[in-house]
This record gives sequence, structure tokens and C-alpha cells, in this order.
Amino acid sequence: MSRILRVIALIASMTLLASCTDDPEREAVSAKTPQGLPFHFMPIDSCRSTSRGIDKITIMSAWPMHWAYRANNNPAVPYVAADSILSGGTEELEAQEVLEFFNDRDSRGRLYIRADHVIGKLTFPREDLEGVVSMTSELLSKPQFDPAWVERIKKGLSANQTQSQAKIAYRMHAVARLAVLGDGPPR
Amino acid sequence: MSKAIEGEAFENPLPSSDVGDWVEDGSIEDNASLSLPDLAEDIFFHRRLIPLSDCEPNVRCEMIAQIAETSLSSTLPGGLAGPLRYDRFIARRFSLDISLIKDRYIHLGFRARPDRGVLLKSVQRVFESSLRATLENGLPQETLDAILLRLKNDLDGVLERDRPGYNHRLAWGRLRLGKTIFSLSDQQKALLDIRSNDVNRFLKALSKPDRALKRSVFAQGSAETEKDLSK
Repeated sequence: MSRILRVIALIASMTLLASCTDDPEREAVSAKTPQGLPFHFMPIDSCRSTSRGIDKITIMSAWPMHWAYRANNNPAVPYVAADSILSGGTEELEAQEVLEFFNDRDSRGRLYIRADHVIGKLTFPREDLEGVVSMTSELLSKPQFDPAWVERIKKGLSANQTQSQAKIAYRMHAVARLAVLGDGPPR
Repeated sequence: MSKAIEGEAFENPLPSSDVGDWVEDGSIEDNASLSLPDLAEDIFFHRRLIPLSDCEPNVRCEMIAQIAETSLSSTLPGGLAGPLRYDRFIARRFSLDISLIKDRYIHLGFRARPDRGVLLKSVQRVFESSLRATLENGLPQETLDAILLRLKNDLDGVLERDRPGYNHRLAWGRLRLGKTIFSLSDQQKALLDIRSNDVNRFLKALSKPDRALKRSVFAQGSAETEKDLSK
């Protein structure tokens, strides 16, 4: 994980150098970090914001994951984990302090769960690069998994599932899935 | 081209209609509990309609309402997220909406879903006492400074190329509600002129006698639900 975070910091600093390039074509460039990790870089004409030059950097990373393919794994775990990592605070900071840290810097971070990858997306103004990347690194590398937060997130996920399952469209999808794949009874 | 996206080029296409008889005079409090099937969890609703005063209904007043909404939703001192979600585990999730209705009223809408093991009446109690405290004491200066700066950065951060799209969405959103329209530059100008006193005066108005509706909606079947409803 720390290797990936170092790479993220590196990509961010490379983005910084080129983020003011006026490139209306928005061409994506393939490149490699000194550690050999491939990445794509797309400078967007961001220097002309309305009032002052706020340049923003967005970093997207994809971590391969096999969780969903293993029958014995609980499929809900990645969803609960991703939310808990982002919501639970750090060793030094309470959850609300982390939230306000990002809000004060007009920065956002999300983790998206897919069947084969976890996709991370982090957006922040260029002048806050160092603070935001190191805070994100702290959240990702030393997640707190506070039991109270895990419980709250589990309750949310479970309520959403129950609410979805009550809908006809969900049940129709489950029936279609059973007919096509035969992999589970409609619930 | 640039003229077309400036606020000055906009004209209000709709006359402000008279809604004097939409709402009966006087304050009212309508508090009830109900139980519904096919509901995943309990929800508490609270909606209030307060006559608009101390705020000319224009872009400036809309911005003040937005600042009030963002401040009250935040975890910053005076905000509701601290007492409801972070200091203690009361509401798993909540949302707060403050908007102006037809230049005549302020609408305050709140809904919350409790954390595990928390009764709706506890959510209601913490919400009402925290809101009352902020309305009476006003928001601390540091909270308002932070929210004003964030909002300014949000508006200033709209890229030049995204400006027509932003103005389009803004105008469309307001037209749908039959409201006067304004542009990004109107919002930016109005924001520069707003002081913390303006926001606190607006908040103070929210504690006037009003028309309030509260609903505790229980998911049918839960033990807590039945206990609460039987009272």
C-alpha cells in the first residue's frame, strides 16, 4: 500500500508540473513512474477558471481485487470497508476533523467498489497537494475501523438493501438472473 | 457571447404571483406518529414554514439561505452534524433543507434516520434542542468564516468553459420553481456583500412562531416501534 501511495504522490507532482498546459485536445499521455508503474496523464485546460486560477488535480487509482470471486467471502465487506476507511478518522484526528479538513480544502475523496477492482478518486486544489495526499495516505494505510462507525455503515447498507428488495424492479431482476444464470433464488 | 451569460442579460420571465391565500395565518404544530409497511428503518420528518422577514427576496437572500443551510448541516460549531452524527451516535444520516418559498416564506425541512438502538424521539429531541441553541445564539464567527470561504471557492472554482452549463442549470432549476433567475456572477457579487450578522439575523427569524409539521414514521414490526407507538 505504501508503495502505491508513494506512486500517487509522484503522479500528483508530475501532474502539477503540467497542469497549466493549454491543451484543448485533452490528449491523454501514457507514462511510467520511476518505479515502473504505468499511468495515464491528461492535462485539462484548467488555468482559466472564472475568477482566480484554481487548478485542481484529480488522481484516480485502481487496485485489483478478487473478493467478489471467492464464494466464501461475504460480498458486503468491501462496501462496508470502503465507507469505514473514509469515515472513521485517523489515529490523531476525529472523524469530523477529517471531514472538515477536506471541506476546508475543497477536496473530495471516494472509493468505488467494482467486482474486480477498488477505484479511488481524489480531487484537490494544487496548492493543497501535500496536505491532502498525506491525509489520504493516512486514511488508506492506517484505517481505524471504529466499531461504532462500522455498525452505522452496516445499518445503512442493510437498510438500502431492504428498501431495494421491496421494489418490483429489483425482484424482476432477481427472477431474470435466476432464469439466465440459475445462481440463486429470488428474494 | 460573454454578454449572454452575464446576469444583466437575464430578465425575469415570470411575474411574482400572489400567494397570500396559500397559507393560513397563525402558528400551528402538527405532531404525529405512524407506522408503515415495506419501510427498511424508522425516519423522523420535520418541516416548518416561517414567514419571510428581514431579508429582501433576491439573490442575496437566496445566498444567505444557502449559507444558513450549509452551516447548520456541517460539523462545525453551531452545526447539527456534531450533536447528531459525530459527538454522539444519534442519527445515522440526516438532511436539512432551507429554501425560500414564493418570496413569502422560509421552508425548513429536516429528515433523519436513527443509529442502531436510538429511538426517533431521541433524534427529535437532539435535533430540536441543537437547532434552538444555534438559532438563539447565532453561528460562531469561525463557522461563518469557513462556510463563506468555501462557498466563495466553490463559485470561483467554476471553470470558464463550464460557466454556460452552470448558468443553464441554475436558471432551469429556478424556472421550474417559478422563481426569479440569476447567474453565477450575480451569486459571486451577492456573496461579497454578506456579513455574519446577515446570516444570524436570518437564523433568528427561523425561531419565530411558525407552522410546523413533525412525523415519526416507524418501520412496521420493530419492537421499538410498537413500544413507541403505544404511548
